[in-house]
Amino acid sequence: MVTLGPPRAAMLSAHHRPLARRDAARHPPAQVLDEDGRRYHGLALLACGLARRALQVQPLLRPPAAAAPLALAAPPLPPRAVLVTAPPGQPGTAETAMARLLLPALDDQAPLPRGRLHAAMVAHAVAHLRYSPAGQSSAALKPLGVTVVSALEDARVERLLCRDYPGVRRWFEAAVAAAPHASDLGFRAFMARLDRVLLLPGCEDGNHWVGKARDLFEQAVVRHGLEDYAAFRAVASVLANDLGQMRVRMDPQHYAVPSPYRDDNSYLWRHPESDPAADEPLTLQQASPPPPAGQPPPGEPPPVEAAPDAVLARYSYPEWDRRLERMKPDWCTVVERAPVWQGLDALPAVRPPAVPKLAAMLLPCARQLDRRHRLRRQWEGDDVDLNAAIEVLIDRRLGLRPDPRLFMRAGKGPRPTSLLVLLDVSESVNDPGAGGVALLDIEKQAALMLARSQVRGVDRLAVHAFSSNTRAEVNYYRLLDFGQPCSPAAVAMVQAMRGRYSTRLGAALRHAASLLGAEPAGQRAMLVISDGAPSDIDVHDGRYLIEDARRAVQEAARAGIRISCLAVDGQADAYVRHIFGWRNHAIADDARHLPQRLAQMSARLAAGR
Amino acid sequence: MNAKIELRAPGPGRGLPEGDPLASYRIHEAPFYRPGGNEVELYRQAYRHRMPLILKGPTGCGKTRFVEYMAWALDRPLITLACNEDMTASDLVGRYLLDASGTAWHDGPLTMAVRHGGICYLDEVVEARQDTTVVIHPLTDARRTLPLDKKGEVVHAHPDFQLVVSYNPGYQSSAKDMKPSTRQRFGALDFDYPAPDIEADIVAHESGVGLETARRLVSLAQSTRELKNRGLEEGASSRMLIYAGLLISDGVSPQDSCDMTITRALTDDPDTAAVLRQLVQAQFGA
Repeated sequence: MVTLGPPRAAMLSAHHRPLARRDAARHPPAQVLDEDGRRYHGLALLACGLARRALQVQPLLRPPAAAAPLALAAPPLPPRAVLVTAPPGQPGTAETAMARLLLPALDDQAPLPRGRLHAAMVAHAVAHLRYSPAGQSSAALKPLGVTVVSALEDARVERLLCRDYPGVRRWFEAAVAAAPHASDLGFRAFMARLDRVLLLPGCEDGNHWVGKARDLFEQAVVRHGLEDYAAFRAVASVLANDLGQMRVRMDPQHYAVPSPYRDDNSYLWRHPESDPAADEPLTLQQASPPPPAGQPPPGEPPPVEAAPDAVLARYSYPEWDRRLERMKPDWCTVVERAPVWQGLDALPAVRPPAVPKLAAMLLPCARQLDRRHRLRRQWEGDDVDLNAAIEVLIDRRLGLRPDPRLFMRAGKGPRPTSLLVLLDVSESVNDPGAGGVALLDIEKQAALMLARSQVRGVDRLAVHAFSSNTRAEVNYYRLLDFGQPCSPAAVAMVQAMRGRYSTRLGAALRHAASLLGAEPAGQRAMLVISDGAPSDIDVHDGRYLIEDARRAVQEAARAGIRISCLAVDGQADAYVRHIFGWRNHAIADDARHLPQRLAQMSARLAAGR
Repeated sequence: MNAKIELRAPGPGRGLPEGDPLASYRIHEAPFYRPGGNEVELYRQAYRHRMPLILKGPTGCGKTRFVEYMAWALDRPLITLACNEDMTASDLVGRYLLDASGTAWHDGPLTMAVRHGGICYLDEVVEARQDTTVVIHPLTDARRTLPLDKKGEVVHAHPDFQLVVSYNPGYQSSAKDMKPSTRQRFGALDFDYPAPDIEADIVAHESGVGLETARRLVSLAQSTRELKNRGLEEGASSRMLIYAGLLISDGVSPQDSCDMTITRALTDDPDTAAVLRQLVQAQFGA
């Protein structure tokens, strides 16, 4: 049983990491949107749509060999998907209970195109999620029994899924195990026959045991219905017993389910003897991929800490205390800094690939009706222009031809729009996300792309960043200010940004809002890009900073500044929505979708929609 | 359908008085509406007190149909106005126009409903600007009057007049939210997509497909609704399902119908579209 730890806890608790870890997180920026990331994102959406609940789909980094002592097996076992969920009995909030599906990377030499096999894997996992009881105790069963029960369960839930989604039957049928040779009487061959006979209608197999399995299964369907888990488990124990009497041997260490699209069924079982501590390393490795091999050896001196960023100005802001229900005046100090100037030469040697400018169709233009502007003497309009009407009547009495342009309507005036993009540059943005790209790099690319693209409707754009180190030091960087061109120097500033410290969101929001307030009246909007809940090392109450940030968002809204958030955290739904309001947030499950989402959101903000 | 008959307002019946100015706004055919809860009874009670109502709910879930049905059931004319950003107060209350002898006042749709007693339905009311919607304030409290400041007249509302507005809280911006001072004048009914069985019934009835196909369309819609905020702004609406059903019952293959009426209508993003097509496949096969 693979357990899922509270996934973000480790990332959020402290920002001081061992230096090796921090160093390892610095890696060359990779391409923002690669083929793989898009595919897994699509699979996650597919899973979400089929399961009717949120589900993460991630690549399985290695075959699950480390989970069991299978590593010595001579021929490597074919990889199978793994479905992971929070173990029952562990208090899991709604966010941590989100199931994850780890899919093995398939090469294209597989009999099916990997897209179709992956879709079948997703569908099968969804069938388990929807219909299988998770984490049953396997104490009373031998490995062979566990395997037979699992195989029947696979067939049962697939039938249930085919009932709800008739089209998925094709996906399963195309991917089911191949028919074994008639002379093959090994355990795996029996299981392959079982899979086939239960899935494929009209599939005949001469074997007596297989025929019996099908008859018992169909009887159970008729008598008890597909929903009855216990009835099928009873059938499975009869069948497992028969196999035992037939002296069919199972070698649990060299067995993988024969149908390649089915998962390893670890989702179904809880093995009592397994030591929870032994599962831990696997969990951790999957939650955050291990640092690349280039770790500095222990003896190497730690990298020289760069000189502190220059302080430009200090500001005090209050903070909301949710327990006291009031503002604590002058509680936080926002320190405006300039990132250490590394000069143009210090740009990363590997330049990020040139980001194409955003397609204009992503950016709807705001219609800006300005009623202060009255257009008189129009051909048509809301109202009669009285002066013109009087002239018409005079002209008519004089026998002249009147001017028919006698209406008035509102004109369209330019509405200055200022957009402030606020980047979270706390320590955790250094973590490589899916695809091994640090969020920080993606944030930088996205912000620069936005700055260069000249979003239609946004007249003035600023890119600022923040991180915090207790309430006495909320660092704030004005990387690209309003009205400043996106010059190489500004680009260098953005590129020089490093992820450090924590996320005290509220204070940064208040400062950014006050900067926006100095902008010309019109549409003022702020877009926050963050990867985690607000936190800081001097705050131990998880909800405190969330409530404070929520308060800051409400204050800004009263001042006419709309704040939206784009969260790069599939589990951010609950708190991001709480802070920013359910209308003003979006979640990019995958950091690599961030630039696109960012462009959409900023265009929406600019359009005031 | 006996229930519908009982709902009809007792009284003078359908005999139209000569010169009924709202005659063209009356609904003569019973609109098909399948209640999902007690909203019909609640509406009737609200109407008894002429209480202004907000109908909230996602797009295409049956708000407009419900109002049509109630207008029919209560035998009142229904004046519908689709609001938009360019709409001004004079579009609602009326304006002076020129004619041969000078200027002449023309009642706007709202004034017509107020004067002659109809249900005025402002669809997507938050699309109109807030300064436009304040004209309804004196109508929606105990005064029930509509001052026409340009004309210098105060119209007292006809006893049958009722104001109903709709809006979709899903995608409108906060900039266009209703002011609390406007909001608090209304009672509200929440609408959502109907329960699966009812929705399948509706789709089958409206589009003419079999119940089994309708069920699959509804199941597909539920899958897409799960993707809201994860790539889609809204899931597939009941209206979309009816469109898909119409094509299917005309003999278009389910895959092509769904592709046209659901997948392409919901998203421009090719990746999301690919996912939607897979969901269609999961229902209807390749």
